[in-house]
Amino acid sequence: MAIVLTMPCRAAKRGVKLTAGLAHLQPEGRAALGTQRCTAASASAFESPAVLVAAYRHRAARLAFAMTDLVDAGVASGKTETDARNSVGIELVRASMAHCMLIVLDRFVSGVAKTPAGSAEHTVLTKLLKLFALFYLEQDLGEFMEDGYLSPQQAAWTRQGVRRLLKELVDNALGLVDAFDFTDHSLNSSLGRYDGNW
Amino acid sequence: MSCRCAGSGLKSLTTTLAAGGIETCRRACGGHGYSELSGLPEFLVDYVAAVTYEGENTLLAFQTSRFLIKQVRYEGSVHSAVRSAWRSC
Repeated sequence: MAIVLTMPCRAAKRGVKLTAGLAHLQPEGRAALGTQRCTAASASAFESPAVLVAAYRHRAARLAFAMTDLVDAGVASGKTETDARNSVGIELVRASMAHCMLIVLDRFVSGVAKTPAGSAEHTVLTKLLKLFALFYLEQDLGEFMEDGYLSPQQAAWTRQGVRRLLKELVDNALGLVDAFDFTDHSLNSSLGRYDGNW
Repeated sequence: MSCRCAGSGLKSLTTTLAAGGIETCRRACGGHGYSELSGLPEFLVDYVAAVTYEGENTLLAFQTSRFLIKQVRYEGSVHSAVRSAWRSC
């Protein structure tokens, strides 16, 4: 694992461009993080995938820097690298999960963008994408609000959006699950059938 | 590359979300979710082990954070070096 982890650094030393997915970890963006704000001025603008990805990226960057600062402070106070990390384990997990949520959401957006615009699939998957982003944003609302990136108004739009999207998607819930094509054998349930007929 | 290093964290994230999701669905079904007939208790019991096997989820999250820390430190060091080179010329 250690070899894998040092590979990006080695790649960069060879002049290979680092993955664009990590651009938010560059120090140039760091100074601006504290004053960065989500600029969406309406509920519908707030729900746009680009705005949501930007919010997740902001959180991932902020938490990654905060975590690194904590470990560095631990090392500076005389702890070993391992002890410094272990003493802030909870923040390591937080930053790690924020980073992974950003990757999942970013991939989700690219996947939905591949469906033909205007098609029924595109419409439903876009709603599912928004629900996914807003639902988990609401779960970790504190991480998005503690530095003022999201405003109280935007937090309210998050909750409203989740409520509205759940209502709009409920008719498609069965279809979305059936899209995975689980067999009755694997479901092994008397509650429903693959085609939704009881 | 970032994907490979994030892979451990992604396993941790996705299995945690899935295990939680199954339990939420099971509870949403009330008594049916408790009954073996719904398939949900067995599904939950079979799945929930996934947060432990193939790498315990907290430890896997640590691996991704290790990569992130290295990345932040490395990016910082590259740019400060470039800046000092600029100042000296």
